[in-house]
Amino acid sequence: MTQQVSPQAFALRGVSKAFRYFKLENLSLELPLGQILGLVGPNGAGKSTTIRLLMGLMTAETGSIEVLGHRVPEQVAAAKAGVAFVSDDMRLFSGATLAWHMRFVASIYPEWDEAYARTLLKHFNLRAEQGVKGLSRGEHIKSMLLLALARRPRLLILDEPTSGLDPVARHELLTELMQIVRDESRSILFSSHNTLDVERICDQIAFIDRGRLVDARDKESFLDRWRRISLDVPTGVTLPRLKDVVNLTLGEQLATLTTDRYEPALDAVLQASGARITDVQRMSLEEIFVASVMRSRAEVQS
Amino acid sequence: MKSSVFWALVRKDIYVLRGFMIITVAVGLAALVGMRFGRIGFAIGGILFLTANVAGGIFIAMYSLLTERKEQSNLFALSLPISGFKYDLAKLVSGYVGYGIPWSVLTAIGLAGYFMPYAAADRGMFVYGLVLQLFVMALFSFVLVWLFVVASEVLAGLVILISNICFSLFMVTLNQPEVTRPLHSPHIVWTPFALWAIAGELAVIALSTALALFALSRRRDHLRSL
Amino acid sequence: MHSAFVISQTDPRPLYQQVKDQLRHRIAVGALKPGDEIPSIRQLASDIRVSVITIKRAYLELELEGVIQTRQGRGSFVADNAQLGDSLKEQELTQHLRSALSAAALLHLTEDQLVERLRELRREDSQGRS
Repeated sequence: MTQQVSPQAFALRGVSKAFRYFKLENLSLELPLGQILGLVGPNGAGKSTTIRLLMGLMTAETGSIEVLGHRVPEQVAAAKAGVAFVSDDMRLFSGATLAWHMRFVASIYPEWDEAYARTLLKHFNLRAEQGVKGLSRGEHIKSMLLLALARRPRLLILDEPTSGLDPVARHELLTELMQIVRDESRSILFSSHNTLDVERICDQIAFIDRGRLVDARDKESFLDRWRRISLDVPTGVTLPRLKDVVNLTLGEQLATLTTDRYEPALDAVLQASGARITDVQRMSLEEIFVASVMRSRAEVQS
Repeated sequence: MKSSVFWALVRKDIYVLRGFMIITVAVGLAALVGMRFGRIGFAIGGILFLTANVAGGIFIAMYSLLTERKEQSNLFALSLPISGFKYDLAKLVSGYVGYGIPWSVLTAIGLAGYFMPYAAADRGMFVYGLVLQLFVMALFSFVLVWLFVVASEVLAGLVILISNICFSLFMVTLNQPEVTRPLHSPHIVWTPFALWAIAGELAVIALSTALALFALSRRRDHLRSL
Repeated sequence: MHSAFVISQTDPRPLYQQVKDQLRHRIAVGALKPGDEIPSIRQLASDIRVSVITIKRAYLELELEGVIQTRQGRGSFVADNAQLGDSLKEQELTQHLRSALSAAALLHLTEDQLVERLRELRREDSQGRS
């Protein structure tokens, strides 16, 4: 049977799944090959659910899912042959050693790179002969990352990989992740609370909250469109009604305006009303994320 | 490649279960030997043999299924290139193989005992032994399948409790004089009770397995219980 | 070359701007000469641990500004424009002077006070050298 070759690392279209207290609604998300997607969302937003649906660990109620050109869950085994998945709630088999796991994974995946695995042992400061039971939390995660990276997967899916890592280990992980981008056919899905790392290394970013996709676009667009403008508003001056204003805080003769569609023309409009712009600041990804989620929640309620 | 992941997981599970398998066989064999030492030896040995068979089965079923879910290493296994159904199937297979091996060894040696010179007068009890051993396997089947279903350890305990009750009831029934008297003979006698019991036990094994396969094939969430 | 790149997330300038500025600086001081090859987008992204999309943007803008040239299938190079070094230095000087002007404004210095300050510094420097 010929496989429809998809140029995407994965594609979710119209995916929904309901749980007792939570519903993932009509989610559509794609990642082109050779890019890194950062998935950002509060706890319980649906990040892990989305990832588990991608991995075929759960079946969606509506919509379609394709991973590396294979339909999930119909061809999930073929899809997973090219995917490495590490999640912060995952554990290795407690009765074995890291070396056993390395042999186990090497026997399953032909792309296993033993030399690279040995290098990673050094970088991550791990001992292969150590039993899984004796591993600290950070070492456990690093071990799973090693097993995932040494396979040279075409798609690497990471669910909160840095949550148990010290800064040195995080630095090592990011360095190894950025080795993957050298190959334009390899992609990464990176779900994390660590917006600083996401802001630095991701090409695409998706915000998810309460089971819905709040916003998704490339990183540079996000950072370009959002601004926080500080204004002096003398008495007697009223600010014009503007669209694309996410938030407006008014104080005594001062105002702070947050917009997600910034254009230099906006400055002129504000000045024309009599207000004086004292500062136009770019926003960090974290600030953009919080503002987006707040707006999304307010919209849902109204 | 997919089938090799399946067997790699089964091999891994058998390796993990090896301790239980060895202990079950060791205790069972010791019990069989002990049964040769007088009336008290026979009684104690008999109970020990049954305990090894039943408890071994329960431990193997529970360890096989519950620890991986509890340890969260099921997520790691499920990240391998294998479908969720095949993963569950591998657990079922490794459960049957993990228990099947010690059970076969003990059944073969135990039943062979009826063909030894010292048991010549009671050779008919071979049927008793067979009915008993098949009951234990049917019980194992029942426990294994239900442990796939239950979510909490409390419910798992309930399943064990029910199986113990069934076992006790069965033992009482099996030891009724009407049942055992025809079997105390130098020839093998296939009494109606024995034939019905064996048929029922095989049916339970087949039905449990079929039900498990059916339920597993319809699973939508491979991380929780059914 | 890339090991000397310093990309900081606490710098107020966006990442793509920092990449552009550092490439321009290398060209301005002559560490990179016209015609020299610069790393591919993915190579640089990997070396300095910054997303590919950011490096792509930096390279695209530098190309539009005439600072670098990308030849299909051959890689990226510093533009052949011989006056590039000087014009970049000019641009750097303009940037520094602008910063000085805004700093002076915050201190409420007049133009004369600013010029005087400049003269003072020149005197200090030449005294330090002799």
